Amino acid sequence: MIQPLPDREDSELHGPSRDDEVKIRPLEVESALRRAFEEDARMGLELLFRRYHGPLCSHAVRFVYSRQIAEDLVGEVFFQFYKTEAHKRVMPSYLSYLFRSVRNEAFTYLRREFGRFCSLDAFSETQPDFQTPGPDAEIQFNNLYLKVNETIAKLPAQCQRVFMMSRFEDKKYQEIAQELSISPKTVEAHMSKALRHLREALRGEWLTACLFFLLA
Amino acid sequence: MKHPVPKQTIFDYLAGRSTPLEKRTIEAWLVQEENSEVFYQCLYECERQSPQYIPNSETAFTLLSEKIDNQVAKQPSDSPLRGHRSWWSSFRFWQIAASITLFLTISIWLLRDPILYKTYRTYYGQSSTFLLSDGSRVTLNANSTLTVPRFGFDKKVRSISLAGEAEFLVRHTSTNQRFVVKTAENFQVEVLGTEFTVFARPRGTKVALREGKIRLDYEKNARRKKLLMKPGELVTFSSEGNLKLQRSARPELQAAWKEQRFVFDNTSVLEICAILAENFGVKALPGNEATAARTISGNFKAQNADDLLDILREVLGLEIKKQNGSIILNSQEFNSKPL
Repeated sequence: MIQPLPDREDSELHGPSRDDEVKIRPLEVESALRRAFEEDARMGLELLFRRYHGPLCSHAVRFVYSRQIAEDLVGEVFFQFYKTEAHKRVMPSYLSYLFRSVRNEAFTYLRREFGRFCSLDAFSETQPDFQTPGPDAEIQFNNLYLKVNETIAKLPAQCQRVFMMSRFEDKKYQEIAQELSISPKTVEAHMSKALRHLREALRGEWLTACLFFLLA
Repeated sequence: MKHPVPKQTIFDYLAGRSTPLEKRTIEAWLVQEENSEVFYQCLYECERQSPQYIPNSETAFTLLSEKIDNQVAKQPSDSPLRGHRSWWSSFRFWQIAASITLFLTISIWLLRDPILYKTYRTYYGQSSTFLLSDGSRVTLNANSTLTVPRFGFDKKVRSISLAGEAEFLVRHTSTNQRFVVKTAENFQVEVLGTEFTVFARPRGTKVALREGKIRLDYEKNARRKKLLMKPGELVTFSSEGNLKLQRSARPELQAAWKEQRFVFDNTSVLEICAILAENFGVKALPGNEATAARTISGNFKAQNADDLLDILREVLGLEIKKQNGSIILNSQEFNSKPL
């Protein structure tokens, strides 16, 4: 499901050999963005959006497995960023702020859809400027999307196909049934199976994540 | 300022390809807060180099701009994520819709009686008079229930059901509508305009006619039977299905309870115990068979169970004792017998 994509900006970062460049370029980008925001917030937002929208969506989709939902989550993060004038106070970088927010949103979304039993108040707030929850959260989030990925990869082929068509391509059961020449009932069965697997796989993840947020 | 973890290792970790040992190293590295900027930079590069898919950023930006422009005009509403159209929220929607439908269906099923019928009820020791919509008057004795259909009562047949005891003053209508009183058993009284009392309690059914003409429809040995009653007649219908027709000189006595009067005519203590239970919800038992068989006659006024028990004590000289929540009636002669 991973499509190779040629780098649009000429070879910004490639491999460990260009480490020094990695260090400098992002800082330049960051300060350029800040200047743009100072001049005109709308323009700053546009630059920020054009640069990060794609990667953010690509990252969000690893959690939620739906383009539509991923794009909605990311859109909301940008919207809140603009609305709350986060550009004036976000430190140290917009990049980490945006990724963190998207991961928080994705986690909250998954939790709402799959993990009903964990209802910590610490989590009901989904503001992107929600207190940065320490570095442990990063590990938790990584484990979470890796787990989602792993679970979906382990699904039987046909089940996985149906899941991707419904979830990722946003197709109706009827369309999927026609395309794969199976009955809509079978599509439904595949979907509930995939969901059950996800739910079971994520159960353990929620517990660690919730516990962690309680302590953080 | 080189970070100790090679970039490729982080990329592998993010792609889920790292070994448990590498994973451990990276996690230890990640826990240090100063590394998080580098981590996000790697995350960004990773997503840029091998994106999961390419979103249409142009359209997305147009949408975002529109949203911001709209937002300037009006105050923010709820997050758009809440109104998400996705298959599981729609599944949830249907789940909720199905639950509500099921709930309503069950409620209507359970509430069909209160919806379809109006119920008049009297409690122990209470009697009251109701006027039905056709002008007929019903007086309910204590602990009785009368059920009248809310819809169609004024149609062809005025049909009501009774559990307990009631006196009816049925109004004759110009269209000769039948008036039917159903009791719990396969027994019903049909009228065209008259005055009568119906007694329908677990121990049997009694109908006394004061004026007019009524017909009893009942079932005996699974056969439908009819009986026409004349004024002054009293019919007793036992729970076994036997019918007994008596002439009663004063049928109005059957409705003496209206004035809180009890008319006893060789009525046994056992029967009075039943009356106590039916009218006042008081559990009374004769202490022995001899007491149970003693009878009482006369017209007594009693507003509550204590009044009635006082009558028994005075007239029959019974001793009344409370025991385990019930009342035991004993003839004093037996107790006072010298040893």
